Amino acid sequence: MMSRTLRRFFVLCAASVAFVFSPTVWAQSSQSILNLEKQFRAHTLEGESLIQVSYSPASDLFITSASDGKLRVWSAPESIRREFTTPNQSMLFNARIAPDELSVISAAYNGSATRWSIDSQLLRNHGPHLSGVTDVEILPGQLGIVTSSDDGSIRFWSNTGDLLRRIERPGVTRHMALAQSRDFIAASQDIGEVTLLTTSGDLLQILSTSQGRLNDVIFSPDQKQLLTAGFDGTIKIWDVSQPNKPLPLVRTIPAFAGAGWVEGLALTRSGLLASASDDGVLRIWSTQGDLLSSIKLSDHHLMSLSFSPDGRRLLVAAQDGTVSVLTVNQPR
Amino acid sequence: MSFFLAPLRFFSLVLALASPAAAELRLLRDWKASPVFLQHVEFSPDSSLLVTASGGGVAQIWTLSGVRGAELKGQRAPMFKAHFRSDGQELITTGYDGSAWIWSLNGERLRSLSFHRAATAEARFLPANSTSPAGFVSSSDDGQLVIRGPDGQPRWSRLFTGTARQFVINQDADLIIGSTDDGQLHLINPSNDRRSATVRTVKTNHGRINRIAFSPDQTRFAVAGVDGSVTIWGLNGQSLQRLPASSSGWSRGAVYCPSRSGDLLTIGDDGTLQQWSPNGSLIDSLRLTRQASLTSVDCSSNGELASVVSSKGDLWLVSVRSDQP
Repeated sequence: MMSRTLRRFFVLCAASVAFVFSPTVWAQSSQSILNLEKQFRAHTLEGESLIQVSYSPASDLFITSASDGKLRVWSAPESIRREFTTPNQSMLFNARIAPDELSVISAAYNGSATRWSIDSQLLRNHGPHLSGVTDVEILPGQLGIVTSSDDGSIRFWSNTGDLLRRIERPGVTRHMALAQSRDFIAASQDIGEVTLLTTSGDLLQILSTSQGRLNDVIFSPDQKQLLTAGFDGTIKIWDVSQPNKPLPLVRTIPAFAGAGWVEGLALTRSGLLASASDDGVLRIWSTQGDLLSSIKLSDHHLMSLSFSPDGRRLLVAAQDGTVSVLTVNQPR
Repeated sequence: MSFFLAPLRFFSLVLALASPAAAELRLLRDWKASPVFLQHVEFSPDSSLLVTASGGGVAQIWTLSGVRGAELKGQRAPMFKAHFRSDGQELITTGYDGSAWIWSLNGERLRSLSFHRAATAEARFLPANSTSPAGFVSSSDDGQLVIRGPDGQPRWSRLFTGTARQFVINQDADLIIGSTDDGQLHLINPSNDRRSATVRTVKTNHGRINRIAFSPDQTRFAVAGVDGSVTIWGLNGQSLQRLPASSSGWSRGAVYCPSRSGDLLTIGDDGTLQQWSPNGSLIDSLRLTRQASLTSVDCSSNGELASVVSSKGDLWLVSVRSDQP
């Protein structure tokens, strides 16, 4: 029987090969890459609104969380499987679904991270924080969860709700990404920095991106690259193969004129990079920085996006609560 | 239509103010000021106007009778704050894109200033002193509180843990009290040239602080927090008193009325406006709503009116009476 480590090695190698060679494969006409399948109203939002969408890493199940205080689990577009509402409908900044799809966890403006079982049972409130919880990550195995907050903290919690570590950073700590196979996380600060920490909370390094507020940080599928984007409209790709050493900047994809902030990023194993922007346009890039395709999806800001695990579908959430469902044509 | 109703509304307001009342706090009028969350309300220095700032990114000027004046919009939403300059002739508004815009009273945008590369949480006009011209102060989600010159360029800044959310400036412009979302207060004394400052940091038990307000004599200040309480502090950083401002949820506002008595008004997520004497006795309480959180409160320059706004865009105008000597 192949050991787990060996299997992981082969998976990473395969992903890396696809990642490196994909740009030439994808140099084709823009119409062939994206096809807008449908749009539906996942939440009804107005004013100071926020929405995040993300696929389960294991299936076509996906979740949306929004400023209406609702976390929805969808078995398919327009088909709600479960709905969770925060007390007093406190605004949700983000939510995650556990890889085993047995629980969901929300990050709320009211200062709590709440975990529910998928059959709607309240499992635990992780808190209190001193201010709003901006993001949450579920760590592998029994390592617990990590939360970030307007109070500047990154907090590590056990699954039983005990606070294990608290790291303080300047300004808001807004978004986090987990490099699960490499046991570290990235947490962005609105001052334009990214703090890299081990999954037990030890500081690896602080990266200064010079991009201003970061609206998204993601890892490449092989978890050797970190992508950052936000206030200045650029997308930066960093080499994190050695996370405790200064991170080489691999590439900067310049801001697209008039597009405003980049609000969200997503990347497939085959090297398709999707960005969601203020101008309502979804853009598809190669990781070499070539614009392969773009499609106007909304008159509102696009806030978030997520590829299905097989990379064949893309969900994009707009500020009014509309979610666009796109099919993504795979390379031949 | 509103043109003809305006004199009637004003007349009814005068009548309401003149009529005797048993209660200290009495609702005069209310109106729907925004379709979305209102973040802030403030009287003009002469108390003839109000300005509201909304989650939709709009500042709206109002007469006290509820007639719309200029609409200040175009900045990235949400807008957290809108303030009149001390002479009442200009306003400053905050943008989620790190900007601060300066406006005339008739809604003409006079200047667009890029203060931060993350949301501007607060921005105020900074009066001139003996050696420095008038400038600005701003704070941001990026954790910075920045003292700026007349061109908007930084003269002094400090990076703090968490959002640098609130600050107030005293009348002499030699003390700035700021707060960060980790529940800390920062008492900042700028040098005369505003290129350096001393900072004294005080930890509170509030968690996120939603409002700081100086007392009329500038010797104390009130702090409203997400723990639902309002605390009173001396300028030496000593906590003097704690008031239960909300029976549930947060307190998002506290303001002193600049009357002889110096009463304090507080608001809560429970929908209640409360009036407290300077020694912390509850004088009166007025439930304004059960459907929304109260998000901001201000008191008129003569101490006789309070304005309150809510998370559902309501605006209430309340008469404030004080029998204190």
